[in-house]
Amino acid sequence: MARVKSFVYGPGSGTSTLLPADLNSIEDAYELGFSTWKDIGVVERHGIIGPGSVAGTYLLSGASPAPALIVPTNTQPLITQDFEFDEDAFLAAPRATFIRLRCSLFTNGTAPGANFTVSVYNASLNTNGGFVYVSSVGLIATGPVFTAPALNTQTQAVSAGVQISGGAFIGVPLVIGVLVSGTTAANSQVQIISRLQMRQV
Amino acid sequence: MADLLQIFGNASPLSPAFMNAFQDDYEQAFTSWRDMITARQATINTTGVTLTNMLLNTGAGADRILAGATTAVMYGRVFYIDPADYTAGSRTTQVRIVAEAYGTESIGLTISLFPVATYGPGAAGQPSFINTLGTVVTSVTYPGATSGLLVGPAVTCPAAGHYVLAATNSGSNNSRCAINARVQVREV
Repeated sequence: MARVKSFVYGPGSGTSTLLPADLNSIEDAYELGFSTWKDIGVVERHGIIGPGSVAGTYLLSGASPAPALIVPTNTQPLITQDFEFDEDAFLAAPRATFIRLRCSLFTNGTAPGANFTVSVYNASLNTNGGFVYVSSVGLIATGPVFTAPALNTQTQAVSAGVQISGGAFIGVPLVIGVLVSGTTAANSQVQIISRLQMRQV
Repeated sequence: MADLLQIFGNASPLSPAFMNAFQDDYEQAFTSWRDMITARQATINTTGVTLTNMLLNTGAGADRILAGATTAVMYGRVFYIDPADYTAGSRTTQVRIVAEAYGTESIGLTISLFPVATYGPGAAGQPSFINTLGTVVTSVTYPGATSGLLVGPAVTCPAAGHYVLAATNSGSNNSRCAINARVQVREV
C-alpha cells in the first residue's frame, strides 16, 4: 500500500501540508501493524482422540503420527508436546500482548458424543525411569469449545485472546491440551489441529 | 535502527520528509513476510509417474501420501487459513510458498497450495481423511535441477478454509527428493 499521504511543503515557504486528520489516519494505519493476528507457526500441535477415550485432558503433540496423551496418567515421555513462549520476544510497550488458539476439528463417520475444549496449559513435570513426564497441567487460556460435534464434521474455531504479562510464562513449559467431556463413542475418531497466534493491542 | 526516527523539540519541527520516512518505515511492518505454519516436509521416492504427494509437518511417513488414500489423515497436513486473521484496513493480504528441495537427480517438481475439496469419512474406527484437493492457489516449480530454495509469487490470500501443501512430481523410477515448504503471509 502507498503512504496514507505523501507530504510536501506548501506554496508558502515552510508551510506544511500536515493536518490533524493526516496524523490520525497514519496512527490508525500503523495500529493495524500490531493488532492483526500473527501466527507463531512453530507452535502447531495436533492429536487424535480415539474411540472409547475417557473424559480427561489430553495433550496434543508436534509429532506425526500424533498420539494424544492423557494427563496425568500419560504413558509416553514428554518429547514434542511442550513449548516455551518468551513474552519478552513480543513486547511492544505500552501495548498488551495477547495469545489465542486457532483450531480445527475433524470427526469420522461416527459422532464422538462428547465436547472438546482446546486450551493452553502450563505443565508440571516429573521424572520416571530416566524420562520426563507431564504430571499435571494448569489452565492458562481456555477455548475454543467444540460442542458435541456431529459425524463427518470439518470445523474450525478460535479462542478469545488472552493477555499475557508479567513474565509468568517465561521458563515455564507450556502445552496445548484438549479437555474431553466424556467417554467417546465406539468407532469414533476425532482429529484436532491447533496453532498459536499472537497480537499486541 | 534506533527506536525513534526523529526526536522532536521546539527547534526541530515536523517536516514533510520526516512524515514520509515515518510512513515508509512502518509500512515494512506489514509488507515483510511472516511464517504462517510449521514447515511441511516429504521425502519423495519417484515411481516414474506423476503423483501429487501431500506434505507433512514432520518428515516421517510423508512418502507418497496421496489425496484419497485412507492414510491421508488431516493432522500434520491440514491447516486453516482465515483472511480475517490478517485484515489490516484496506490492505490486501497476500500469501506465498517458500520451498526447499534436494534430489538425487533432477525431477519434475511443483509444490502447491491446495484447498481441501472433499473429505473421506474413514472406515469405522478409523480417522477421516483428505479425499480430493481443489484448484491450486499458488505454486513454485523447479526449473530443472531439483536443488535449492524457491520463493513463490505473492498472491491474494485465498478464501477461508482448510488447505494443504503438496508436491507434484514426475521422474524416473527410484529417484529421491527431500522437500521442505511453508506458507508465508503479509499485507500490502
